[in-house]
Amino acid sequence: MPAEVLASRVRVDFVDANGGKAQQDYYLPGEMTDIASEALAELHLTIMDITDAAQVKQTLTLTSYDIDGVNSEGPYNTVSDKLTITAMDGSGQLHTVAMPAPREDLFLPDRETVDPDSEAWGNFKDQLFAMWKGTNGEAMTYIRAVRTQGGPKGA
Amino acid sequence: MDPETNPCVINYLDADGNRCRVTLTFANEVVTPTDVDVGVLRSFWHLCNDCESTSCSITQYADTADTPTDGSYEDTQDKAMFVFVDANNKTHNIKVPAPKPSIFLADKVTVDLANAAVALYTSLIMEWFCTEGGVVFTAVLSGRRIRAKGTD
Repeated sequence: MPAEVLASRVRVDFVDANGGKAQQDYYLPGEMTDIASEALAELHLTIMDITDAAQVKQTLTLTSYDIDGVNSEGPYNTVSDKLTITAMDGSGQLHTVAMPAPREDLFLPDRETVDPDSEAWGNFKDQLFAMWKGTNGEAMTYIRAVRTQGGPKGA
Repeated sequence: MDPETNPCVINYLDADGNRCRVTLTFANEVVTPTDVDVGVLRSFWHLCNDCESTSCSITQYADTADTPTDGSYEDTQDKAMFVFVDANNKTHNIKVPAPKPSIFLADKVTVDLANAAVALYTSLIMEWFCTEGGVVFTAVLSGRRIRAKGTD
């Protein structure tokens, strides 16, 4: 069973003119809804009115996610097993993202190449490339996706 | 100027307890992990993988171009510490670094809770935010200036 979401964390990082840093966590009740972005914007503005530190970033973290349980079947069921997706940004630079624990049925019989006819892969790929941007905000172009292995903390 | 993109970090956990994280960059309109498109992306990968997504975060960079840094307490070690009480009558401290001098009373230590900017901040906290355990705040008790190093 997925854990109940009690609160979602908003972490605000600050830096002063001398490079000194500080951090404060805020919590939004339950699993966040659309109100979160409005709350964040308001929080940013109200803090600006009472502080002299530059706010360099606000990190909004959803502490758990209500999806239907843990999958654990399949030969690649560890986070060290990856599906590494390579893409190219508008300036020709290559980028990779390594998605963990890919299911066996995503691959062709060589067990390394993604099956382009897989519906699950197709849905994910379409959504990923609708959202994934280069550092300048440009769209990414799909190059390839193959199974790889990496350390448990890698990504 | 705001960056063009916001980084998104998705954390995963496998059945052996190992963890990893995936970092992606999204357009800067995507500011919350509950954004519909982020949810769809995570759900689609859930149908492709054998582990669980445990958390997701998105970092939004603020526009610092017009941020003032000329106050008496502009050091991040100077903090205004607000004491809130929750619905269970427990107190919680929330600190704001480098507070502006104008939010303090004449003693330069006590926060003026009637100050318009302070009142706006504290009412926002009580309206939308809560404790780590999801309990709502019911009141702000006090605010005072402290010195505290580093992160909260």
